Amino acid sequence: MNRRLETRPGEWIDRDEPLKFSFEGKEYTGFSGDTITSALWASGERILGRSFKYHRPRGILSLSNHDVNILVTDMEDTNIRADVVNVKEGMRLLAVNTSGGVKKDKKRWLDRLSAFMPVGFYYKAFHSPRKLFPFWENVIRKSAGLGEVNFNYPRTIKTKYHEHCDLLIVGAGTAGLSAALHAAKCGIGITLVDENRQAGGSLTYDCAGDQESKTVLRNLLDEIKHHPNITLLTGVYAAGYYTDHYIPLVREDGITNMRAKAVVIATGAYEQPPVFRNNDLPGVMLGTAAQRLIHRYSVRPFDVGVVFTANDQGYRVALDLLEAGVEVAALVDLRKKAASPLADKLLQLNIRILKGYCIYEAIPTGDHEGVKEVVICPFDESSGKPDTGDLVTIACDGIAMCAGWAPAAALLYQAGVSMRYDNTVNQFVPNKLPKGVFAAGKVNGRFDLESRLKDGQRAASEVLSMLSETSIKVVSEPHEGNTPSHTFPFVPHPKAKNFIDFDEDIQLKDFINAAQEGFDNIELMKRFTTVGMGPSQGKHSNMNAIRILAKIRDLPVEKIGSTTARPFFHPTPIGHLAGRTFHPHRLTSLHDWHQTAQADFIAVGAWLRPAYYSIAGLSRDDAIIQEVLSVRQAVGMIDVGTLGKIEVHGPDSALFLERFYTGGFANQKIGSTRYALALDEAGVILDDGIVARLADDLFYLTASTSNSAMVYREMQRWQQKWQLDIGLVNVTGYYGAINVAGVAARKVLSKLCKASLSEQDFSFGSIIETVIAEVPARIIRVGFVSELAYEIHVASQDALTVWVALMEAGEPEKIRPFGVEAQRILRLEMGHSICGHDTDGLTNPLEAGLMFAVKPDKPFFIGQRSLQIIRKAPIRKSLVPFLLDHQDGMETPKECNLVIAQGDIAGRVTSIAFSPTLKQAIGLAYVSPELAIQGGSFLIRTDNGSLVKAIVAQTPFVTSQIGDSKK
Amino acid sequence: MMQTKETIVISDLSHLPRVGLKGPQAADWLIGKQIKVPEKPNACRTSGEGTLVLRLGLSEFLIEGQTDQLTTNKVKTSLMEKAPGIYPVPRADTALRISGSDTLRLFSEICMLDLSPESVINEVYMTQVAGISAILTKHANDDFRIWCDCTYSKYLQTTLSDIAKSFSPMNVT
Repeated sequence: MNRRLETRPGEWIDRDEPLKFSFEGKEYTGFSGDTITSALWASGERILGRSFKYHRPRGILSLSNHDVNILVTDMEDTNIRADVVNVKEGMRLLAVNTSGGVKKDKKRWLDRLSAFMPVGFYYKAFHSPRKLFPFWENVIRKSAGLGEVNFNYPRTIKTKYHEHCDLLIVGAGTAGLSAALHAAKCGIGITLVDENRQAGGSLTYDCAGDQESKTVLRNLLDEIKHHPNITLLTGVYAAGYYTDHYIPLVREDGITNMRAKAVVIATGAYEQPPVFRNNDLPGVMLGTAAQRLIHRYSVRPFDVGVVFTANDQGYRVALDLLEAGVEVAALVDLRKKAASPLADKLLQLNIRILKGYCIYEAIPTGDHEGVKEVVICPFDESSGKPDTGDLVTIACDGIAMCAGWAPAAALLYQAGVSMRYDNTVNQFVPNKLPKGVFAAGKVNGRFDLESRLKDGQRAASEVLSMLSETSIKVVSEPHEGNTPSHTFPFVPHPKAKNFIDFDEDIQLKDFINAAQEGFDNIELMKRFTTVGMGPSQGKHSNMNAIRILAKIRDLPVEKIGSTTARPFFHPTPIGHLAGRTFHPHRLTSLHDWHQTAQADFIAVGAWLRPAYYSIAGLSRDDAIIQEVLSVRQAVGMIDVGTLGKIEVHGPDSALFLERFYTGGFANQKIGSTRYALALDEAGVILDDGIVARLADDLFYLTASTSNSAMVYREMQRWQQKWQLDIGLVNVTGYYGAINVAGVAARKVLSKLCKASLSEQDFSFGSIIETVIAEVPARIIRVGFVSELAYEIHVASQDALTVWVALMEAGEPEKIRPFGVEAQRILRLEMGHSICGHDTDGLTNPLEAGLMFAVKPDKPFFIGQRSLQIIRKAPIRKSLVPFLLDHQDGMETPKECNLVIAQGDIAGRVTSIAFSPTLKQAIGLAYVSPELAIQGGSFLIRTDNGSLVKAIVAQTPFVTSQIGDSKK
Repeated sequence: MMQTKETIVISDLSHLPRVGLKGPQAADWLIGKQIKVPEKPNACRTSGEGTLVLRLGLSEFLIEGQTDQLTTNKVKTSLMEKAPGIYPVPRADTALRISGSDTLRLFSEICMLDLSPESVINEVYMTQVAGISAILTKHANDDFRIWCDCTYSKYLQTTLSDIAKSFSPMNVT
């Protein structure tokens, strides 16, 4: 059956560009500009989807993005919203959530069992026995749901742009266009967005059988074209409102993050369905959906229709249906008294108007593919009950429903707008708007064409006033006449199937049951019934849910309140949210050398560092062991240019460090280094490092690789407070650093260094400024990975020169580079903890055994007061070194495995590794204080559940360069 | 120099001579050396023909020689003698010039700031560019400069050229 109408003015389809596509295996033809739904409906198809839970046949409801009756898949993408996605040549589509096809869905029998599956049935029915819940969960998930995720979905980059404008207007309908034109006269930059493919909002379809709307629209759009300062974006939706007028605009190919000086929300309103039995049958649709079909896509919604209305909108819809050639069998008006100004026009056209009547139920055709007839009866508005003693049947194949509106106020709610319920329009409208946020049009309770035009101008004039632009004040009058929304358009029926939320198959009785169960608060009712929790997020159901709850509780609607509408406004693909992902990695100036030397890299903080250097014929673990042994037995070299490096200049530099770190630095000698520990105000360890004094007024300090940015930021923050006479200079990138470690380190370095490196001249903890390989350098005698080690700091541009020179000088000693993995083992053998690895966001120096670095009696340091309080309380855990009491076949614990004492958790492992030097596993673990006794033991639970014995040891595990152990 | 077909040109100017200093006396010290400094923080200006002076906040400066290194060498030499309230800031920047007709589009993807044609020229922005901290200056709507830590050099250049390539086929010269 072909439902396509003759060419109509303003239609969105291009008849010169026919398209072929398939749906459920059958070939169809549409036109460019058709949505998938409009093309299928034009071809005579009725069942285009199956409902979420009961697998009921579904057709068009809103023909916008306000319901998900029709979701399809093209086998690559899923949950494609057929109502709003344009059909493309060659598309091969299937309906989602069916078994065996949309028409012969094998799960349609679930509809017959619906009486046994009210909302929340699974909470009760499958709650016990608990062991069976996974089984039922699997059954439910397979029976109910949406499309299946394609895990092979191709990765396409969705772009994210950042843009700015003076005024963002959301919604290019009557009010939005009017606001844009009024504001544009002052020359400000305006961006006007609309989610539809074309601008105009309801002017594109709500015509009431004449051409006035389209003429108004044409004039508005013509005028818009003459304002170069208006950027009109269609097919773009404003997805959410964030602080300072920051609004993501979702395009088909990405997101534009728009920052505006002011925002006008002119998003209109969602039409709400009246509720009666079988109001979800294919062929039963919202009045605006029927109008969209006619005016945008030139498709006749049905042949013989009944209009069921509870407001004046139904009369406009009836005139549009007539104009499209639909036979209107009757207009059933729920209201007994209200008189529509268009009633006479319909009566002149011999349309039967039944006032004070309702549709009691829609009767399906034998194959349940559509409507056969409607049963109507008188309706008592005061009691909300139908008079079933006077049932009348009218044959038809379609129903257009008009009951009222819900404001599309999601962005307003997110902007913090307080809303009030306006009884003149029976709708929530903005009450108090934050600065820079304005509302206009239907969302502001203005419904007549003239008042919407005026309200747009009024909002624009307020914007201009806020932006200090000259503007004539415009006032828009409140709504007058019949209320656009009915307070209670619900027709109870003993056999139910009168749906409120089409996404989730929620019926009128479900709300009554929920209230009886005690879920009589809107937030609780939402969660129990799941109303508004489907993909439509309540666009077509929340307002009806609020009205029902108000009726149940006998309260005015404003006392019920509404739920929060969170971003994003429509479901948005994750790829859009991800955008073009940025993964910044810092590389040292030695990176290329590492790469050539077959380094395998890992990310450490912001850096890419060599984990180890692979060697042909050796496994990863063996390569790491070789690197460890080379340090212990000869000499090794690691790139530590990733360390944070900061210079503190100025007369107050020592005072600054006294305050920032826990130790003492005022009396630190020039040419010496000290271990430094930084805490936060709560006494929690932030970071540690080395502070070297190069002059009275110059300190050079290092911070750990992962924390260096944070340390510098904290230093700047505290300096802002303290205002000391210092200069902080972050030289992390400027300086490269190389650690030469092992028994032969001095021998190798001496070949290149002009200064004496003898134990007497350059002892542990010293720093010298000298020249190495003709390059100025700062050399620090350190002991992190080995008792004999030197950290050489040179300008990063010179680091490669020094590195290569060291490799050559160390060749006789079989020097080799080592990576982070070997470094972690070497430092563990030395018994050193790593901040952020062996500490967490709650660890204090008492627990980590770092009180040696705290000078508690100095006047002040960050965290001092907290530490004083902590010291008065019993310690809860201690970091202890341990050796594994290893036996063959035993599972080796891993980091984060739990320490178990008397069946309870008594701590956790923070570091563990096999020591090639000791040839056994060693580690660090937090244990309860009673277990932290040297020589004592505790148990660690491994991943396989077995308990492994560990013995508390002493550090360093390795006491000399040749690998003697101190157990 | 990398360029997309008449849309984006990315020039690496890291080789230009550069010197940094900070401290409460830094502005007066530079003026005393006949170097013209921007009067307001977060601004830049040329001092003489061959030097770009960026004021990075109230008391920090970055000086870059554009055609010669006379000024930067003079400052470097002077900084070797300590002066109260003046601290040298060793610079190791990756410095890029981004130009071409699609420059604003590129920045719209990598930077949240309003760099539109109406935005101010010769201001210094300390901001995030493609997820990293950077100094940004706008000299014209199709002429921007970026300075960032040299350790991000490969990342930034790769990222910028990847985005530029997505605009149009790339020519690398």
